Amino acid sequence: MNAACDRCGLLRLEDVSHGYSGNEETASILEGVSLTLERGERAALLGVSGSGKTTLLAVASGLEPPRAGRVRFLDRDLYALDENRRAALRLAHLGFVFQDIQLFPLLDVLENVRLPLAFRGDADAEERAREALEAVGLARRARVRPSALSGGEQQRVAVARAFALRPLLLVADEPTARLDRGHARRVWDLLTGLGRERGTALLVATHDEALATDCATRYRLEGGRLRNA
Amino acid sequence: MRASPLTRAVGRAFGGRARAAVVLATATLGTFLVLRGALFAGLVRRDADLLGGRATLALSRPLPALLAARARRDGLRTASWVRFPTAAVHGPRIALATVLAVGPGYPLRGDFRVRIRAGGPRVRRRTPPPRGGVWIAPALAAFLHARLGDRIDVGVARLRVAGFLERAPGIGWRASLFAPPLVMRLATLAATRLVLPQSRVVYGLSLEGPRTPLDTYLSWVRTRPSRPFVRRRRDVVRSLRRTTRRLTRYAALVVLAVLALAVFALGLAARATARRLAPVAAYLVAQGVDRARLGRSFLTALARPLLTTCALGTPVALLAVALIAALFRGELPLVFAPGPVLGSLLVAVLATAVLSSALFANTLRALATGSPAAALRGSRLPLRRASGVVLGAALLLVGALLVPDVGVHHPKLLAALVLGAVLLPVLFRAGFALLARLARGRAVGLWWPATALARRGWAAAVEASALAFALGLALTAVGVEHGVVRDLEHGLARGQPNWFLYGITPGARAPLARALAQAGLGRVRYAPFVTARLVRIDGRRVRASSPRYRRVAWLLRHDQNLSSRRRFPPTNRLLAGRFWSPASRAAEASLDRRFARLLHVGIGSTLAYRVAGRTVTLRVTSLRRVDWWSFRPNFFVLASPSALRGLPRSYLTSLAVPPAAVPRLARILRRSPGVSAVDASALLRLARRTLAASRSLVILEAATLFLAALLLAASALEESAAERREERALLTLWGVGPARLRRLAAGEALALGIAAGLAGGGGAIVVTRLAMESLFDLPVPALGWMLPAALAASALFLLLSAAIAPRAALGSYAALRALDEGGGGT
Repeated sequence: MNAACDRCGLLRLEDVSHGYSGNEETASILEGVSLTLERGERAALLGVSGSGKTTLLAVASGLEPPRAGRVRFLDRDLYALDENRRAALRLAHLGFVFQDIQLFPLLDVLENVRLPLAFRGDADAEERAREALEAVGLARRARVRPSALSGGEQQRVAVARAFALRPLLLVADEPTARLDRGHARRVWDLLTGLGRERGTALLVATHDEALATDCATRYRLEGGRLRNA
Repeated sequence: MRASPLTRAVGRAFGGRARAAVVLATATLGTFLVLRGALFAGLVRRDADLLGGRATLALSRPLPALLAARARRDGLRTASWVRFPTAAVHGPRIALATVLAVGPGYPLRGDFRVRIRAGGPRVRRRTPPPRGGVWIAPALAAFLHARLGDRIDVGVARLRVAGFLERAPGIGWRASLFAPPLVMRLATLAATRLVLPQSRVVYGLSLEGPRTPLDTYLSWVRTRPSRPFVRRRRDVVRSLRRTTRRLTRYAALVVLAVLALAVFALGLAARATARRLAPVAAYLVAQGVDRARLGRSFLTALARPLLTTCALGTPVALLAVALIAALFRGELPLVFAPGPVLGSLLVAVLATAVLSSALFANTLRALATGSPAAALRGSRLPLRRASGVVLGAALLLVGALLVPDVGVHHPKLLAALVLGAVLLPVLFRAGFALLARLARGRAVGLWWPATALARRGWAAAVEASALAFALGLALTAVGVEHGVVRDLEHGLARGQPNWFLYGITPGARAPLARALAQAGLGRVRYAPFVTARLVRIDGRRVRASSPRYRRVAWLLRHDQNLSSRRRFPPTNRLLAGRFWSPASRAAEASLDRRFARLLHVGIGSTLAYRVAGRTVTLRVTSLRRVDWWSFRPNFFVLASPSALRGLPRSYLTSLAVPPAAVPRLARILRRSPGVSAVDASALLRLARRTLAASRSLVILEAATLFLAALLLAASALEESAAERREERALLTLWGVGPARLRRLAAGEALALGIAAGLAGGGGAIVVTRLAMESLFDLPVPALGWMLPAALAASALFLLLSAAIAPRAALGSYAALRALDEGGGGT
C-alpha cells in the first residue's frame, strides 16, 4: 500500500466492504479493503479463485457500488456520481481486458478495436486502432474475424483495444488465465510494456505469482481482506 | 465518422432467418393489402356506374310518374329502367339472366362496353341496343351457346344477339356472377310479356344533375308515401367496402396466422440477434458507453437493414399477387392501379418495419439495461424475452387493421386466435416439463427425447406451436372445402331437384303443372312467394341503419320473401318452439335460427310486414335449421297459411330434370312468359369453378403458412443450436456413436412432432366442426382422418429437419471445439 500518495493518487479505495445477499444469508466478499494506485503504477492482485478479485476490480472501476466505503478516482468520489457520469469517466479514462476476451465475433479485428473509440467520438479512431494493432503485432491481421485467431492473438486484440483508448488506468481481470505459458507471457509483457511506455496505471487480477513479480505493487486478497503480498 | 462498426455489426447480426421472417411478413401483408385494394377498385369500377347516374330510386312496383316529373322540373336529368332475373332460352339450352331494360337517355353516367362484331374491338355505347336486339354477357352466351346474330327466346319474344356486353351500368357484380346481364330497350321489353303484375321486378329511375338540387329533390322523395329505395354513389362505395371486407375475411385470418408465425420467428430471431450482440453490449456498457445511447445506437443501426429487408418483401408480394390474379381471372373483378398498389405495399413495409422494430427494440433494449459488471465476470448481459403482452398487442392491432369485421362481429374468434398464438407455447412448455417428469428413470431412448424437449425451453415450445398452428389451419382449410363440396354434390345427386322455377303467377300454376306432367317431368308442388317489407320488430320500428341490424341491413332495406306451409318442411330441423298445426288460424312465423339471431328475435317475438299496403303481424312460434344446400325451396321466414291469405303472391317450385329432358323444359318455358328458371347444376358448376380457384388459393395459403412455420422452426432450432451442439459434443466424447446420436435426435423430433400433431390435428377438428356448423350451417363430415394426417405430417417434417441438420458437431475434433467454445455459438 502506498500511503505517501494519498493526495496525488489516481485511484483510492477507502475501507470498502462488499458482499452478495443470498436467499437467507449475506456472503461477505470484501471487508474493509483500502488501496491506492498512482498514475503509471502497476499493481497485481493475487488470490485464489473465488477470493473476490473480480468483485474488487468491479468496485474499483465503478461498475459495482460497494456496500460500504468509498472509491475515489481522479480525486472524485466515484459512487457519489450518477451512473451516467460514472460511465463517462470510464469511457474517458479506463480500459478493460477481460479473462473471457469479449471480442465481437461479427466484426473484424480492426473494427473491434475501433468500436469503443467510435463511441467516444474520437476523430482519429481508425488511425489509433491501427496503431494499437501495430503495437501488439497484429496489424497484418486487421481484417480477419476474431474466430480466425488463436486465443493468445484474441487476447492481444483485447489489449490493443484497451490501449487504443489511451486510458489512465487499465483494469485487467485474469488476462492470461485461458492462455498457455508462452502466450500468457507474451500478453503479460505487452500489458506491462505498453503500460510502462504510455504511463498507464495497471490493476491486474491474476493467480499467476510468477507473472505478478513484474508489478511493483502486489496485493493478496484472502478472506475478503487485502494485504501486501 | 464512417459507418459505425456497431452499424455493421448489427447489420451482420440481423441474420438470414430474421430477414426471411421480415420478408415473409411484408410479402404476406403486402399481397393481402394489394389484392384487397384491387378487389375494391374492381368492384367500384364495375359498380360505380351501377346507378347509371348520380343517384337512383328503386321500387318493387312502378314508380309514380310524379317522381320523374318533379325531378325534371328541378333541373335533373332522368332515365327509367327495369331490372329482373329471367330465363333466356336458346334451342335446348336455358340460362338465368339479369334483364336490364332501359329507357331513352340511359345511362346518364358511364357507358356500355360492347363487342358488336365477332373478334372485333370493344366499343363504348351511350345508347342501348336497337329495338328487337339484345346485348348479352359473354358468360350468358357461353351458357346458351349463342353467337352474334343468333336469336334467343326471352319471354315470348325472340330477340337477336346484337353484341356481347362486357360492362353495363346498372348491373351489380353479384348479379352478373349468378345471372349474367342481358340488356334491351324498354320498348323491346313489352314484346317479351315478361312484366306482369306479380312479377318480381325492380323499377328504377336514374338521376343526374348538380348536387344541391339533387339533395333537395332526394329529401323531398324521402317524404313521399311510396318511399322508394334511394341510393347514391357514396352508398354504393360504402356497401362495396363492406363487400370487400366480407370477401377477404377468410384470407385476412390466414394472413393474420402467417403474421403470427412470422412474428414468433422474428421474436426468436431478435433473441438470436441480441445473443450475438450481447458480448459487445456487455463490453461497451462496462467500458462506459452510455446505456441509453447504446440502446438508441442498436436501434438506429437496425433501422436501415430492417427497412431494406422489408422492401425486399414487395417484389415477392407482387409475384404472389400476379399468381393469385391469374388464378382468379374471371372469378373476381380485380383492378390494379399503380397508386393504390404502391400505397398498399408502402403500408405493408411500414407496418412490418414498425412491428419488427418493436420486437427488436424490446429485446435489444435489454442489452443496455443489464449489470455492467457482467462483462467483467465473463457472463453475458441477461436477455429479456419479447414479452407476450407486446406480441399480443401487436397482433391484436394488426388483426383489427386487417379484419375489422372479424374484430367487430367475431371478437371471440380474433381473441381466440391471438390467445392461441400466445398461449400455445406456454401450454407446450408446461406439457414438456410434465413429460420430462414422467419420463424420469425410464430407458434412455425414452428419457432423452422427453427431457430434451423440456431442456430446450421456449425454443421447443415455440417450434411445436408453429407446427401445430400451421398444420391446424391447413387441415381446417382442406376439411371445410371437402365438407362443402361433398354436401353440394350430395345435394345434387341423381333424382334430387336440380331446377327451380319461380315467378309463377296464380293463374299459370295449373297449365304449367299440366305441361310439366305431360313432358314427363313429374308432379310439382308449389310454394307461395309473398314479397314483403319488414317494418316492425316487437312493435318497434326497424331502422336498417341501426348498428343493431348492421349485419342484416341489406335484407331490411329490401323486400323479403315470405312463404307459407301447412306442414313442417322435411329437409328442415325444428330447434325450438312448435310448428303450427295445419288447422291453425293464428298468424304465426317459423324462422331460420341464424336469421332470428341476426334480427335479435326469439320465440314469442313479433314481426310486422308491409305487403301491398297491408300490415301483417306474425308471432314467432318456432325456430328451424334450414338445409340451404338441399336445392329445395327454402325460406328464412315461413308463415302459417292463414297469415298470408288474400295477399298478392307468386309461386316457386323445384324439380328434377335429367339432362335429356332440358329441351322439353325449354319448350315449356317458351310458352310460359314470366316464369324464371334456375339450373342448380349451373350453380354447382359455378361453385365448383370458384372452389377450384379457391383450392389453389388454399394451397397457396397453406404453402405460405408452412413457409412461416418452417421459418419459425428454423429460428427455434437456431435458438437451441448451441445447446444441441454442446450436448452432441459431450455425448460423442463419452463414446456415443453417430448412429445412436441420430436415433436420439430422431426421437426428440418424433416427440415434438407427436405433440405438435396432436395439438394441430385436434385444433383442426374443433375449428372445422365449428366452421361447418356455425359458418356454413352444414352437417359435419367425418374428421377422424385429421389427427393421423397431422401426426404423420409433423413427424415427417421434423424428421427431415433432424436429418438435414448440420453434422459438424459429430466429429471428435468438432466436439472438442464445441466444448471449448462453451456452446457460445460464435
